[in-house]
Amino acid sequence: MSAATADSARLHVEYINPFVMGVMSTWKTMLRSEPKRGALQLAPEHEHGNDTTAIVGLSGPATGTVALRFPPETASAVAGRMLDESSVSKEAVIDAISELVNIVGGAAKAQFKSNIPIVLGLPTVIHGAGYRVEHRTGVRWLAVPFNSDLGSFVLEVAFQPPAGS
Amino acid sequence: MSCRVLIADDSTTIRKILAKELHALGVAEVVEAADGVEAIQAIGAGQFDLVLLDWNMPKATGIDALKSIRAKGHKVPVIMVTSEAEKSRVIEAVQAGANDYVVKPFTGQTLAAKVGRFITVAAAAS
Repeated sequence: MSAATADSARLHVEYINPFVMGVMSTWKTMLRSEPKRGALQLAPEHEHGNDTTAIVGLSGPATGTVALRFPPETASAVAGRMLDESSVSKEAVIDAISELVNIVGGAAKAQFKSNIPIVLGLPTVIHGAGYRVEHRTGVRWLAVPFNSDLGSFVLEVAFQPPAGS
Repeated sequence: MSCRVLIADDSTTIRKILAKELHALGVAEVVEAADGVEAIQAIGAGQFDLVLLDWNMPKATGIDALKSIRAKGHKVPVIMVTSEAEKSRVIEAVQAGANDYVVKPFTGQTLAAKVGRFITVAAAAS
């Protein structure tokens, strides 16, 4: 690994860790689940199949997008556990995973110690295949896969941290 | 317990979770608002013993709703329940008139501890 690549990898780890910690604390607290994380990777450019993805934007002193990408069965299991219900509607699943990405984004942004708070947008949910949210800054999506008793899912982050952090 | 509590959060999931926790604590009546404007209208129209208020909501944010109700003289206790976890946000909310602050993700125990003291006071006064 070249020095530049190593530096880049270190930066990626540094900036993705608050989001990973946000996932871990949110799953533990809201879902009574302790997911195991996989290795950090560049998010694939290929299609997402029938996954359901909840995304939320960050703006202000730092900009970016956080996404949680779920296979349908994981999304249903997560919503069911969150609501303590054995069967949940499609609307309930959308709402539950929207709230989860909101909480993960909030938990992560608090760790960047920016003097001016990073602003959290309102979450959006995307269904289906063949999409990729692109940033005009060209920031690459980083992905961390997780596995849990509720099924697998992926955290994806495209983020430019606050200046000086 | 004859307490009446308003939950203002754009997430139906969070409203359901909070309502369940409140009922478990003995709260008799829970009213729900799905955005900041609905929250302001509900507080203007009815008497509440406690308000649980999200920050990031459509139409009006929770902090704008809080400033609005305090400007109108409403003294109802307000607990912010939000994913806004920065210290500066907590200070901003307290300066705007919030009585307490719960950061998402939260446990039932944390919520019960924060909510409990307000509903106990309300029950004793009724």
